[in-house]
Amino acid sequence: MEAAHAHGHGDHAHHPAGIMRWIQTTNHKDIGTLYLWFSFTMFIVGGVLALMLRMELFQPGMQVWQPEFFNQLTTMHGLIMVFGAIMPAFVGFANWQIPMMIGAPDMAFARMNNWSFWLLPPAAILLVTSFFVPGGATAAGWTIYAPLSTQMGPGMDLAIFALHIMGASSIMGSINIVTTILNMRAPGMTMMKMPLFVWTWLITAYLLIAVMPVLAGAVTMLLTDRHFGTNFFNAAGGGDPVMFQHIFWFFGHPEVYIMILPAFGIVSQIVPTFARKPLFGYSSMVYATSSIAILSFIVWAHHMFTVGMPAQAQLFFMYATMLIAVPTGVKVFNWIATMWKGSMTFETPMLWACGFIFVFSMGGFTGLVLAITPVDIQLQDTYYVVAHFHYVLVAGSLFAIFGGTYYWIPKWTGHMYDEALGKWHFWLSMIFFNVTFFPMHFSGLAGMPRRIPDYALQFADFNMLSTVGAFGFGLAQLLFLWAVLKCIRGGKKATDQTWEGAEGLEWTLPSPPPYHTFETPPVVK
Amino acid sequence: MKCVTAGEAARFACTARRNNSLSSSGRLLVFGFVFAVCMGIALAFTVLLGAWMILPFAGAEMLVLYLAFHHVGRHAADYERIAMEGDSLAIEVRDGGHVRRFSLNRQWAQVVCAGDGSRLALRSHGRELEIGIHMNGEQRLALGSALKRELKRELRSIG
Amino acid sequence: MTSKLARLFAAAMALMATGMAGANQYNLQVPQTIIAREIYDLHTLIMWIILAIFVVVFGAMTYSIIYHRKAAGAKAEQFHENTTVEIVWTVIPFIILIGMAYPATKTIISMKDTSNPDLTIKATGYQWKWGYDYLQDGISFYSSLSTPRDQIEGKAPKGEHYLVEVDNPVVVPVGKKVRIITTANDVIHAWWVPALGIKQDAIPGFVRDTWFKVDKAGTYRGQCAELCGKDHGFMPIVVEAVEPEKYAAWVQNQKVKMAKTAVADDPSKAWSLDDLKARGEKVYASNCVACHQATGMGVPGAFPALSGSKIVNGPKNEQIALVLSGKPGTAMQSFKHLSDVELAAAITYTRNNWNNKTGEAVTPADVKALRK
Repeated sequence: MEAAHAHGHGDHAHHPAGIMRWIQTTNHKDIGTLYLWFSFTMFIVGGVLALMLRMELFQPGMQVWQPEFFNQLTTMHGLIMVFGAIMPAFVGFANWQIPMMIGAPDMAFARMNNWSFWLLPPAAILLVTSFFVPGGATAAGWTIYAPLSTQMGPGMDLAIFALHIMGASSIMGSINIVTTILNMRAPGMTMMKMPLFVWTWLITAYLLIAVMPVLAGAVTMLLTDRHFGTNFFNAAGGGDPVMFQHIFWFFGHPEVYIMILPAFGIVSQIVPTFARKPLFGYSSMVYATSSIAILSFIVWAHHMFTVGMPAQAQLFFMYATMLIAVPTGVKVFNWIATMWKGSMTFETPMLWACGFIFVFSMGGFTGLVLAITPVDIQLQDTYYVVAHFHYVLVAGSLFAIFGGTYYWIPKWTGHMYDEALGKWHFWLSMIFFNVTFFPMHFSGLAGMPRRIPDYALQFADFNMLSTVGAFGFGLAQLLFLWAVLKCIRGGKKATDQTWEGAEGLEWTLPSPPPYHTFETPPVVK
Repeated sequence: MKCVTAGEAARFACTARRNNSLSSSGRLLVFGFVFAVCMGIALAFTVLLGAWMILPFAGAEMLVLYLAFHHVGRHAADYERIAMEGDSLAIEVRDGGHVRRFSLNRQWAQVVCAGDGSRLALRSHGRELEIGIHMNGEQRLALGSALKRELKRELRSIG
Repeated sequence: MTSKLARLFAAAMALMATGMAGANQYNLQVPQTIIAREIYDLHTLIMWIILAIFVVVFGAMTYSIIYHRKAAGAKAEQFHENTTVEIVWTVIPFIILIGMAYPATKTIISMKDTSNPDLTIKATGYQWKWGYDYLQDGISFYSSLSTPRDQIEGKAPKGEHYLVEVDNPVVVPVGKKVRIITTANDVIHAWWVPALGIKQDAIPGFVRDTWFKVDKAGTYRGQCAELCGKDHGFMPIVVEAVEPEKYAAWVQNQKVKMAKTAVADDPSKAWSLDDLKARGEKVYASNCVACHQATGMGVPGAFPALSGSKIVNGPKNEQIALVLSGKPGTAMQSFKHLSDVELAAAITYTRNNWNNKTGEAVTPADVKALRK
């Protein structure tokens, strides 16, 4: 019971207590915690929206919502999950882990770090309150394609402002992360000694810096088209609606990797720990990550094979997209080679990592199917695509986030989490995830378009199954909340090393690590 | 951190520098690379598609990046030097562009050190001067006890 | 040996195909064109390759999980690189990819070949229905969802073709190369018929094309595949492929029908207020009701009410101008593709229905005068 008091960080003498501590904090650990809680909150909001739309899709016919509200649900589910849940979660991990992993006392720009977090809640409020303005939230899909998005009500403007704010937050966060990683490594921590999580975040931050202005520009052009009479995307005024898609996906495809590369990093930390064996092919992992990042700039148009490009363009984008399978494959092979002839145990983080490799690879396979232009033309904008990106985003990014949380939460809180709860959370999530999304491959193949509130009778069985799975998956996440709260409040004391096979500077620190600095001088072999 | 206790004559000097794993040429290289990529993308969109509104955002971002790197550059050479010079404890702090020098009478100077090494300061005449900002906790504790030892020895030799 | 296996496999596939012929729930729809068949075969090929990779890779992972666990007494070895292995597993996927890219490239090139069509149909996406113009035969019509509202709202049992049935299907002759030109009036739509292997975005202000040649007569159903607003899920596409003789007869029939409508909708005849209202009710039902609703009350916040509206009860020319040019930045698009009579009728109907009692008829001549 006394452990309940032990979660405070170090000494409280030099920083304000209560709410002001969190508002004013410039400490990377506090800010990491804030990011993670923010992201979890948005995950719940986005999840509730998902369940609301699955409710309507439980059976054919319109039962619960009106079609326009259904479109608002799909749109906001996408925006909130992408910008509110997945991205901030990874920034939270970056804040907590990067300084500890490279032996730095804090992030390079502590004040800016505070700003980049505190921009997020206002953006989230804009997004959520847009449901209550006249006309409701934007219903143009998370891709906010013009000219549909120019038809929307004021909810669209709120979403645009929210995207601007979140973009500014991401840019500041990325600059901070790049500077921290490059300039604040402990003596001896050379680039090729950095943990893979740090590497993946360095590359992710570069991607963010490269594409965020593109998103900001795109939504600003949308805004001026809507209100100030410009005609960037308005065909009647000489603009080109397809240009919006080119710009959006030039941002959007790297964005996809922004959401998966840090996940690769987390899995690359977890697998060697529980295999008690060094990561196989460290340098090829670094090169593979870099190639994925570079390729991400030349594949964007595979999201728009049906707009009617010339054959040469379709061929180029198909070949480039297929190429991505090579470095991605290298990563999967390396993880398995790391497990090979290891001495594995399967604590909760390892379960999530194995689940990640297994289910993410299935998303990778369907990605390969979708890369083949003629097949993509048949499957574009169907539930097959919905299945594909949920396999990579939920089973990919989200599973890695859960795995990473269980992996590092003993370090963060100083307590071990409840292993039984963690395992239940994993197995229920894994089963219900597949119950929800696997059938979507079939509905997509059979011809069910995405973003429709009602469907033909042949899709009824699979949709019913998906809805049941979605509710199971949603409820299983309450176990995660329970496990985390329980771990914060107490539990078995975590040792500094925590995991038998863990390597890296963060494991040389006490659990929980002291509030201010890298306590012990880092030793980098 | 580099501390020298020069013989029994008790000349004590300690210099602590900031840890920079990125050299100034490295900084220039990184900035040049990011600038080329971002502006290249923005210019390509402007020229090829007329989507010029990306340009100001890329420019603003480069400005933030420039300011960030400029800040890093300005503070790259920051150091702290603490030395016993005759009667006084001389402290020299370089913070960005300017160098500040303090001199404390060693008989009045007191070492304030948090137990966990999170903070180290010198107190004299009711004012505190924080030192050891480029150090980690253990180094601060070491410096703190070294300073205490030095100050005590002086007092003893006078007494 | 291999041929025997292949035969066995082919038989199994055939069995599966017949078993699912009605409503294929697990795979792409039964292909009806060369392109659709190529897509189907490509997909099958890739699925087999993927399955093979899956078995190898996850076989290794499963083996490792079973035998290299601490509980099974495994001791960790410390190797962490092997250049040969790493080169092998970079090069092999590359070769597999080339094997997949080759047939895909051939299909892309034939998909894109829209030259020398026997028949060209322009498909225009509207919120939320399709308009078709047969460019050679001079036939034009709109095609909208014919599933009754009651079925959607669960007040009546759902029919077999629930949500994938239309009032006027696209009729095409079998064995002829049909070129589809797509465009849109308001936002981006996509013209998609899975069994024919085509999906083409319909983009406002731009024209794109694609083609198909149906092998055998039948009815093929598809849907709009690009989110286009509220009733995106309610604008299906139905293609009826018929023998060329039947097609010729259908063309004649359509022409007669159009001529009849032209007579009935003669703008020069004297239209009474009641005539206009009666005609307008139909036009309203097929063009306006999705947003402004049968009650004229619209959807608060999203689509304005017409009943009691200032514009509808104001000067008629303003309302005509608005309907002709649309309202930028809203879902209210230009309706200038409708005829003078249709517009006059619909506007008259809105001005003399619900709470609106202007008692004033808008004549086709009024509309004509305001067209640019």
